Amino acid sequence: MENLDLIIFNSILLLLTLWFALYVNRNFIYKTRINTQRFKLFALRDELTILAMKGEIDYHSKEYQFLLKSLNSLIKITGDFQMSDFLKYLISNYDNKKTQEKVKKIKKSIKTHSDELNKIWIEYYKVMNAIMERHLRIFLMLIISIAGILVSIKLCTKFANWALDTSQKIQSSAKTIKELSEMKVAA
Amino acid sequence: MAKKKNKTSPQKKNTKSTNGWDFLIKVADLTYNLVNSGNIIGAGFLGFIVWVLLITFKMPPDALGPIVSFCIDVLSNMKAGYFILGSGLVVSLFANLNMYKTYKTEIKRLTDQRKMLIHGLQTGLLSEIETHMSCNTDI
Repeated sequence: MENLDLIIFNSILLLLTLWFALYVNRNFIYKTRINTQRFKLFALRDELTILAMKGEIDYHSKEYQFLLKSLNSLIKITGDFQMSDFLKYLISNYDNKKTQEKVKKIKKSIKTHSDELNKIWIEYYKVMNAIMERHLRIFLMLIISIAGILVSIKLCTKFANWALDTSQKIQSSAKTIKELSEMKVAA
Repeated sequence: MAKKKNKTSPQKKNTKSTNGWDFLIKVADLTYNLVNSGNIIGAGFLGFIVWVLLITFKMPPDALGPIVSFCIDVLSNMKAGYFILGSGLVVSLFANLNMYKTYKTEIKRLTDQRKMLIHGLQTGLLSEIETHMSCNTDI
């Protein structure tokens, strides 16, 4: 090969550029996407605090504490979301009826408290839905891909076994035919 | 004796050994994070390129198919290097611009908020915050 040096140089350059693209994705594109959601939540938290500073809602009220805690936990989730932790949380709180009823009551009182508080709650819900929808989509995609890989492995194994069986049958029948023809010739 | 028991009990909790399930959960989390960050596409592409390169260098030049010879033609061109570097630069530029826009908007919002807070506290429209609750996370 005439341009072997150039080929090697360009190949290394291609690999380095790809690595660079992965780095940029992880440290700029992905972080920006997460921070866009976080900044929305920060704005909502600030709005909530200003409502309390104005005296429109009490700091110690259940509604304020609940919304603040929800916003804080969602901010935390946007950064270090772990699917295993989320599934553990879902499993542990699936049958917790006491907490569910308590949350329902607080949600109702938020809706009837004031328009501004209700607006914050709706916005919070929108952001949470967007985050959860994305995670659910990825989770399903991952499960489907893993299931697809496992099914294709199983199918390939079955096909290989079938091909092996068929070839063995063909070989044995060919052997029998050969033996019969030899016997015929001998007779 | 009671003191000794109290001392040893938290240690027992901390020395919980990891098993195969923990390893599996960790692998699942890492795979999920790789998919979530979008790096799975790049990682797959990178793996494919490495695989093709390995095959190409191991095979004799005569046995190389038309696709591989086309790849070699492209890579042996000096302009390919410029194109690769250019595409990397464009990706980086767009990512930085997007980040700059997002951060600029947030900084503007924070500045406005700060002005409003100072004005509100000075005029008495706002009272000082009683309790501060943070999510305890770094960006």
